[in-house]
Amino acid sequence: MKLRITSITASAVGELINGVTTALEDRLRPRIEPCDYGGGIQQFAVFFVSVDSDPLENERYCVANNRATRYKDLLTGQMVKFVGMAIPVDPATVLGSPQAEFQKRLEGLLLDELESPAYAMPKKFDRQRLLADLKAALA
Amino acid sequence: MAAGAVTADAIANAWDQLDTLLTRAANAGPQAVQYALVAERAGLYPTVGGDLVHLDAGEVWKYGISTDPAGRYPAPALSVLGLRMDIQTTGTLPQVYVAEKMQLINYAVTNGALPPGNRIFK
Repeated sequence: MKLRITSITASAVGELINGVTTALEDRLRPRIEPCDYGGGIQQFAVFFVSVDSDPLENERYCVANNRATRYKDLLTGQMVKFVGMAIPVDPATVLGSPQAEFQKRLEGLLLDELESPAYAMPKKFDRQRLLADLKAALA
Repeated sequence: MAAGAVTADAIANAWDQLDTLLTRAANAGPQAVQYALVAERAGLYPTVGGDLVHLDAGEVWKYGISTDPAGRYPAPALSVLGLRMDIQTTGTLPQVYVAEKMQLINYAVTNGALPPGNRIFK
């Protein structure tokens, strides 16, 4: 299952978050991408959303990405079955934290969101195994 | 009075009209955003013309506007192309169209071409 970690942000925090998401992607891909987590899911996409300090406004950008669906790959034209997970982050947190601390915080938010029972995923998708693998890779 | 000259009243009236236009622009319809899709890493990226172009991390692939930024791009473009989305301006449609046009003009003047994901000066 392919792993993508990207961001939707206000301009002021885009580069800061990008530094963390690309590093996180590089760390996690070797552990996650060789595995099949079931449900026919071909990609797990994580979107860190840091547009506005108003939680409701930030949430607007999260809603459409918290879903399991298919999309058409713009390069190959193939349909891709994916699970998307959006994680809101207050831009003030990004701007006010040292890089190392901020990176740890994003890792924690990723694990918390995946663990949250409020977030429904396809029944045959082995979310617990994905969570365990992510925890192991981040330990 | 010279031909074509205008009165002080006409000038004042024009200022009033401009004020009305600006007010309309600031209150016209739904809220929208002007965004940039930005390369996350250095590498080759597709162009709208079907070619490949090298972008450094942080370089813009496309400027755009949307009234539905959450639904417009994320899954296909952000997941496949290695891009992130920067929200650069929020406002009414006229306001974000102005912001987009200014970004495109600035990019074109600086680089001699549009961003690889933009086909036209929309």
